[in-house]
Amino acid sequence: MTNQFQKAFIDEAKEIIESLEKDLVALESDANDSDLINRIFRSLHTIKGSGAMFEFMRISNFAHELETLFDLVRNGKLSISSEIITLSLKSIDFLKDLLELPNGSKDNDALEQQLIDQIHLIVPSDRNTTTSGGKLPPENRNGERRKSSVYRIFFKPQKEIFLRGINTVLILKNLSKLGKMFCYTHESEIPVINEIDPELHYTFWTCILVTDRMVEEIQDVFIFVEGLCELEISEIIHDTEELESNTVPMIGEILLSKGDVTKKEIDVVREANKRFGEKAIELGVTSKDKVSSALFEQAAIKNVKKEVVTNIAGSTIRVQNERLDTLTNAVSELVTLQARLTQYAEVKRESELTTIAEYLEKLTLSLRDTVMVIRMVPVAEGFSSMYRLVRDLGRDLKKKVNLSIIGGDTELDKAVIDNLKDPMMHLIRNCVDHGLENPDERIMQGKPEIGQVTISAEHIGSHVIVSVTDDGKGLDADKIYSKAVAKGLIQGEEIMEETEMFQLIFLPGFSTAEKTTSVSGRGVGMDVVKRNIESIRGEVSLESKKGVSTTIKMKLPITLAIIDGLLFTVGEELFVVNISAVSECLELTPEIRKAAGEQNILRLRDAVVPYVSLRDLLNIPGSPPEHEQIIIMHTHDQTMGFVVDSVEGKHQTVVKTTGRLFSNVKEVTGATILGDGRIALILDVNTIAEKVNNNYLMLVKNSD
Amino acid sequence: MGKKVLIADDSTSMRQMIEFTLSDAGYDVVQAVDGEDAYTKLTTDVKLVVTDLNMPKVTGIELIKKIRIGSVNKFVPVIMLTTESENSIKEEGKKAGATAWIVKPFAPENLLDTIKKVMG
Repeated sequence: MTNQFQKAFIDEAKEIIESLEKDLVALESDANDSDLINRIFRSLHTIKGSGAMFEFMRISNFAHELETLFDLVRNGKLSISSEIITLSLKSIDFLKDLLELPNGSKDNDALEQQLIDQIHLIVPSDRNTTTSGGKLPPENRNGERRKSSVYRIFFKPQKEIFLRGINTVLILKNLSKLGKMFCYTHESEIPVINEIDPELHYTFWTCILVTDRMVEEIQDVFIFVEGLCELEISEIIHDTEELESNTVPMIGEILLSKGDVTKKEIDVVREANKRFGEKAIELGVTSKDKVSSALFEQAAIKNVKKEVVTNIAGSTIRVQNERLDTLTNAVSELVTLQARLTQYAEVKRESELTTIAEYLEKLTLSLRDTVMVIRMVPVAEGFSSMYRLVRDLGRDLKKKVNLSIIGGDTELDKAVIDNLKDPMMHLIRNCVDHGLENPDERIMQGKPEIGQVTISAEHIGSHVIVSVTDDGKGLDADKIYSKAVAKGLIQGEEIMEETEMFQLIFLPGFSTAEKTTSVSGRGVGMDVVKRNIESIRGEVSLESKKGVSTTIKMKLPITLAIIDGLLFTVGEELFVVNISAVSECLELTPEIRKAAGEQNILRLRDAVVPYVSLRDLLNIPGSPPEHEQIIIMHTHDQTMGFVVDSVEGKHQTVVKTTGRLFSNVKEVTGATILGDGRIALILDVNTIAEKVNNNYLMLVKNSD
Repeated sequence: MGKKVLIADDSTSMRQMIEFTLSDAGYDVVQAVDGEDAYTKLTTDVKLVVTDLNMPKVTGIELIKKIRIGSVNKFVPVIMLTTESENSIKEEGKKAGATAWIVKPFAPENLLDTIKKVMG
């Protein structure tokens, strides 16, 4: 842009110089023509001003010397002589030369100095200040961050301020941009409505500003109203952190610091046992307006203090995970112990004991809830690293990707989130690598060039659903099917729904990538994702529409520490399953048995549900009771019945993980201690269902 | 439609430069070659006047005075363009009713900052 204007300036300057020459010659014959002198001065002034604007500093500086000379002439401090005219004409010639020269050329320095020296001989030296290239803004003092201070700014514009084109509200707005501002409007000088002159400014303000800026910056806001207002900027609190230990000033103190009352008056008012402000007004020591303003200031400082205290004390603290775990554990034990006490009290039937037990129960439950809340973390915290991941992936794969996170404030147990990180990373990689198309391909299909990956989290009952969606090419069901056949994962004779085919990608040893890239498809398949999610009692499902999108949904428990369980017995053993998987319980009647025949299948309304005896499956000794129960449960891909001895009921289960020794026992995810001290094992329904499928339900299905 | 800004300067290059800067920032610019021209172009919809002080016919100071005393737009903010050596004139301009000033030479963003300060 500069060049365009530089050229315009050169053309303009040439014209000006031409007329300057003419004027100078004319001036020689009439040395007192003030119009001529003014015009010459103005011309030089323009060359100087515009020259500086367009970076012709040498021209500007030189014009300044000549301008100074003519300023003296203009003010009658110097009279025109032929010597001055000659010197001026010579200088004009020099300016002409400068205009022809490329900017910043160092030619004819000697001539310039000679001319300037000659001008200086005429112009008294004290007048000659050399202009620099404009005043530079003061350097921001960098260094450590300044502490916040509280300023009181009293701003009372002159009533006539509107006639200066000044918008006082704008000034307040600019002021408020410096920090946090509380603004008190004084209305005491607004006359009654029929006496108001709309051209006058009646209101004035006392602002309390909390800022870490320097006082100069506050003054700078008022630079254009200097001299047009009463302005008083005082620092009332030097460092807001002092507020933590100090008390908020009293109304009397505030009024005193503003000079609204004297110390003596304060003492007088204090004599009366009344609110200071009220009494002060009553005694006529100060006005209502001033007291309100002081009250406002007090409230503002209180507000600031509150903020400072919470900031210093910290609205959050960091706690080591282990400590939290220890606490959770202790609370779990306490819940168990409390349940035992309650049970014992019921047996003992002692009123005193019952009261204590009840009170303890209430307390324990609230303690448990609190601990659970402490463990809750917004999912966004765990997903923040995904932005970076997506960015890097996009760059590596030359794809344009935008990631958005919806419902980032949904809370989950920290342990769940920690366990979710790896599967999430894998899913995101899949989305970007396999899901999204190349930019060219996308454009060809009429999709936006930038691919969209969305992570969303929402609360549903005692679960949180986290899903990862991409708007890429979707899954090709047939391709998946044939791949699964090629890999020997299925026989290729099964007739499958599209959704069933999608499930195949969760099989171990499946990978849809045709070539192994550095990003994904390195053997860590969707089966690992599924296993990870299931290990935290979550479920994975998949939806896809070819050419449109793919969504992986993960249903996760809010917390790992406590589950709502269904307690049942098989033989002497107690078991718990997650109640959210249970759809209903029925009795295994002789009719069902008869209808099932050899196949262990029951007809439940319109559906056919296979069932299996847990006693057989888990090799529990003893013979089943006469009336067995079936618990109907939803595993991730089917509905299945488990035959148990008896269903005890719902149970708030504090989950204890089993030791490392039992890590191979996949069917059991943990254990819990019941109120009476007995132990119940927590079963993983999905693993059991899988095992059943692999063993003999497959046979049933095939013979179907 | 941006806010209408009236520029009064006898220097063509200055006017062009300011117009370029302001149009780029979304303002509508009206140019005037001197104070007299500016006064005739001052309509009620002008939201800001930017004026040089040294101009033929009607100077910047006179223009400001005329605006403040009974023009159609007497409360319009006025920014004057001064140079460092013109301190006394600046004071005169303030007295006449200038809202703000900017010292030449200035960077385009400085002008925009000043405009934001007086016009929002």
